Amino acid sequence: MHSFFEIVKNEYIKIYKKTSTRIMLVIFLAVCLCYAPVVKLINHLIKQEFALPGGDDYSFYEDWSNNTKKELEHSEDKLAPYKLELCEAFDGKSDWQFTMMTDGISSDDKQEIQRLTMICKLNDWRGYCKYKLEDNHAPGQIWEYTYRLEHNIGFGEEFEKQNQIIASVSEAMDGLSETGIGGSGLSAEEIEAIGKYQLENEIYDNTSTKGGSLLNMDPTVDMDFWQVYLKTPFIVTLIGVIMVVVAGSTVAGEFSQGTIKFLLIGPAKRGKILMAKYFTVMSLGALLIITLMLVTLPMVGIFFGFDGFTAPYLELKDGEVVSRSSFIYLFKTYMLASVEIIVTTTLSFMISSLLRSTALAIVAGFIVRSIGPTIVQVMAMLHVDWGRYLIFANTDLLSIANGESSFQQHTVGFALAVIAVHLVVFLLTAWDGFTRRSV
Amino acid sequence: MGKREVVLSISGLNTTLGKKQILHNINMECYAGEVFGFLGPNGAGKTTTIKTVVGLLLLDEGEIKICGYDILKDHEKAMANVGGIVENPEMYKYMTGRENLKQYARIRGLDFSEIDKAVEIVKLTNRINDKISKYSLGMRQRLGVAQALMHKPKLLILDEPTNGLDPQGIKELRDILKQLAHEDGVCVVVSSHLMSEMELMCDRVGIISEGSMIGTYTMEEIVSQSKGRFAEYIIETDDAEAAKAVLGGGDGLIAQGEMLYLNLNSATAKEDIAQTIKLLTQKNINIYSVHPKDSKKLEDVFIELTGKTEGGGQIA
Repeated sequence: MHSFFEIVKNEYIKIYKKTSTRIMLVIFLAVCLCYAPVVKLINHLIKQEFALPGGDDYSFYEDWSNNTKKELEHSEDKLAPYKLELCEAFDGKSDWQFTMMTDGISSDDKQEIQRLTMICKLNDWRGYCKYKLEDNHAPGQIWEYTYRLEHNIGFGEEFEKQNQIIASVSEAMDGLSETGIGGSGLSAEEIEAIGKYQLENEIYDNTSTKGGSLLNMDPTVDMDFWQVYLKTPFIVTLIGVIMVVVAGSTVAGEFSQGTIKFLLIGPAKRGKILMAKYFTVMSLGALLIITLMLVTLPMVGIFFGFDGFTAPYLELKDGEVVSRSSFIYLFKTYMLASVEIIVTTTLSFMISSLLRSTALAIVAGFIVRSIGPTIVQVMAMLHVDWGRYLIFANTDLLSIANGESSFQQHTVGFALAVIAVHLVVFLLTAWDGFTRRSV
Repeated sequence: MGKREVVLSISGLNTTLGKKQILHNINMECYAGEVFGFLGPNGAGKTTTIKTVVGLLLLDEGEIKICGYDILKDHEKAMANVGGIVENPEMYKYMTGRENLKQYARIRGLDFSEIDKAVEIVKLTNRINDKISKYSLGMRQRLGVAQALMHKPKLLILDEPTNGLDPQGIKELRDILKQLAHEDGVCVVVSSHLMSEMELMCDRVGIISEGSMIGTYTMEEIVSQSKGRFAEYIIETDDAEAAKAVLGGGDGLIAQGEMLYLNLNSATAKEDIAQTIKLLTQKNINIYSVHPKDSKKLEDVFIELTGKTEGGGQIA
């Protein structure tokens, strides 16, 4: 056992002394350090680009109001005076009042228009809710207005947090939110259940909507700590690239340099050397992932602040919402992301054990890594269902967990089973190729 | 010979690569305290045999024991007693000589002080902290030797160790190997196709040809074999033709310019040459130098031995 770790130590020294690995490590650290500032910069630039002059969108209501009034003044409509009165009553900034405007202008019921005018004049949100509840069949809307009336939640800025949640729950119930909030991959049921739980327990910050892919980030709003930090698992792909190079050269490199001879003319058995090498690349991958977590944490904190740091992660499990630490969610995401690293590393390691050329091993690793998923995608498109048993259909556990797999009813458990079988095959192939090989 | 400690024993070794049988029933023993020369023309199977002994090639038929340990059953114990270089000494080019040696010291659980001692022996102390990429082939060869003897193995196997070494380096290596064998009791096995080199270095040689072991001979045996034939002498004189005439112009005489070549029966060679010199001086023929030409002894035996096999074609 002692000599096993001495071999591992040797392997680490070999990896570290190589200029190519040093360059990759520097790039990796640079990405870890620059992630938060770069996201901050993009956030800043896009906000500037999309920011409306004056900083609010009341001008739209003002324009609408003026235009409608002009039209009504010249209108032949009998109800025009009432409608004009309604327009006068509009406060020009509330979204809910604007809904009444559009309802009222298109209406031909004098009483309705007068009623709406009264609600507007009195700024009576309860009246609005009651009005909305009449003759409404959308379950989300019924729930929303009933809930507002019952819990005394108006539309004012003091209820901003509740309003966001109420709106998303209502949309989810009416089937209006297809991809979930911010592309987090939550289903409508989950959004509904979690939203209701949040309102009930007055937990207005929740990280379950803040995961998802980097590409799904909404840069037009101010981002907070978890929104940025929960997307760091996607940098794990970069670690995958490093691992292809390191694992690809670990065995083949000894052959192409000719150093395998001195390595094998020693007391250590071939199997032990191979295991030590595999342990080395796997532990290096784990170290890089931990580095990624530890380096990005303070950087995200510095650039986005630690507001909401203690926010819980709400999850729907067996019909009940459970509150967990957001760090558990983070670790879960990292675990799912690191499965891809394990597969990539093991595959490259196997190729490396079978080939004598480092360059060939690395190139083969990259080709398999890039072509594999494409083939699986094509199979999914052609409805070749056994494609799901291929390793590349199962490596992206983050997507599978979010239900974004190309195959129907694809579960994480199934994916893990397929991966386990493949890993065993890869390792046995590597073992056989290395221990029975003539040097 | 029987009472000497057997360090390496090979019995019934057959090796097949692809469809071609490379080694045919190799049997040999090497003892502690000797330099054993493993001799054969290119492609005879020297490197294949050595690779099998150190575990680079799989042993599919036969038995190899190092210090009594079977290399398959007691791999770790057997290999702990072996140091060696096979083919070229390849090192990690991006590391220094010392860092390379540390790698092997770690695997063998050695103290790093052993590195300095080994480096001292191969006289590489001044350059040990340079990167291997700056080393010449000769320096890498020295580092390879240091790597092989760092852990004080009982069996030191060197495949073509003089490759790339300058004459000074070859002499130093020869002295190191002789010292290790004769003073420290190491069994040194050296392979080569250069007979002249083997002759200066080895106590015993094993000759291999086309994958078959022709035999093992002590240096004395080889010398006595060559003594059974003729001893050749060269006399430098001012008139070779005249000298030839004086000596009777027999079969064993060839005059070529100022050189006179004599083929004498080795049993009586010393008396004959003294007689010849006397005769020539009496006849006023000037003699500038006389020297025996015996450096081809081993080579002659070797060519004869391997030639025999080829002539007979008796390859099992």
